[in-house]
Amino acid sequence: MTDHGQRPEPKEAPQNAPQDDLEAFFGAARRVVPDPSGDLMARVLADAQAVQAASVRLRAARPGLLAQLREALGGWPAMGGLATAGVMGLALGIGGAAGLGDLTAALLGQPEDGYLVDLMPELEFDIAMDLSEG
Amino acid sequence: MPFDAHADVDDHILLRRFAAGDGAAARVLTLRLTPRVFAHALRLLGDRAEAEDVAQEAMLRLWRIAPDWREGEAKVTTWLYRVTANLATDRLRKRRGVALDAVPEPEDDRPSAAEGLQDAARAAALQAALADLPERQRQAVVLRHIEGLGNPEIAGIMDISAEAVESLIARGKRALSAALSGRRAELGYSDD
Repeated sequence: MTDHGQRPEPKEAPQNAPQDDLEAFFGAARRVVPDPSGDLMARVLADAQAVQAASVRLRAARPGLLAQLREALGGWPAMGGLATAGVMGLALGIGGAAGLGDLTAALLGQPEDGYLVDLMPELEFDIAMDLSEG
Repeated sequence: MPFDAHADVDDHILLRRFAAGDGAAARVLTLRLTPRVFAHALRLLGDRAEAEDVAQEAMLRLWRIAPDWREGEAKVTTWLYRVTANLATDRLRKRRGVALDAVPEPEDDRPSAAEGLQDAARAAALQAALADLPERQRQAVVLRHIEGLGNPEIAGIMDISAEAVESLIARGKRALSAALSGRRAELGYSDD
């Protein structure tokens, strides 16, 4: 490869190129383009291939995003609990808070229901006896 | 796949393919961009060995940034001109203190036709005069009048306003004109 090659005038001429005494020098500099050596081209290409190879190795060694997330959360057992919580959250989201009332009623009974518990049934008997005797 | 199959493919698309592991994209980008990066580095530095080192480093940075390249922010060549100029500036600062006449002129002794020789002589004279300019003036003049870029792109590369670019170019050209005025006849300028 030669040090300098004669090149045609570039298509992209300078905008508003000055028509002054320097233009002859600039024109010459544009035509005399210094060529890079074959050694430089080989070094640049070798760098490119090395960077590409390192990138491929990195991608191969690195686990996927889901695998990284799973490990960060504690592995498969944690993922099971997370999935259950997620399904429950989804059900509540779809059913809305109204469903909670039904659940509460089913577990605790209707709020208007009451239970009369006679803690001292003998007292009622004593009062009746007193009244009948009195 | 032959290289010319990529002739119409934009640099940023090739860079995306490179990041995906496409070996052909690596070869095409190397062939397409390295000569431009090297030529720019040589015009800023005036030293072939240093320009090759800078070009290799600039291209290496491009390879490394490829996976994170964000399309639409800047042209690949604009980014490369900026990185090349920054690397060249670092080298020039380290070199500061070296006598100006110690900066070698580009090799231009390849046998050629008379016109080619005249071009080579003029290019060498310009290179020597460029070496005497302050770095920013040299960068702006080279980008505008040799690389052929417009002021907005140069402003983006140098991270300054278009007005500042114009000012740098004007001052640089005044200095170049003064430096080269004594060599016009010697370089066949009167024949133009």
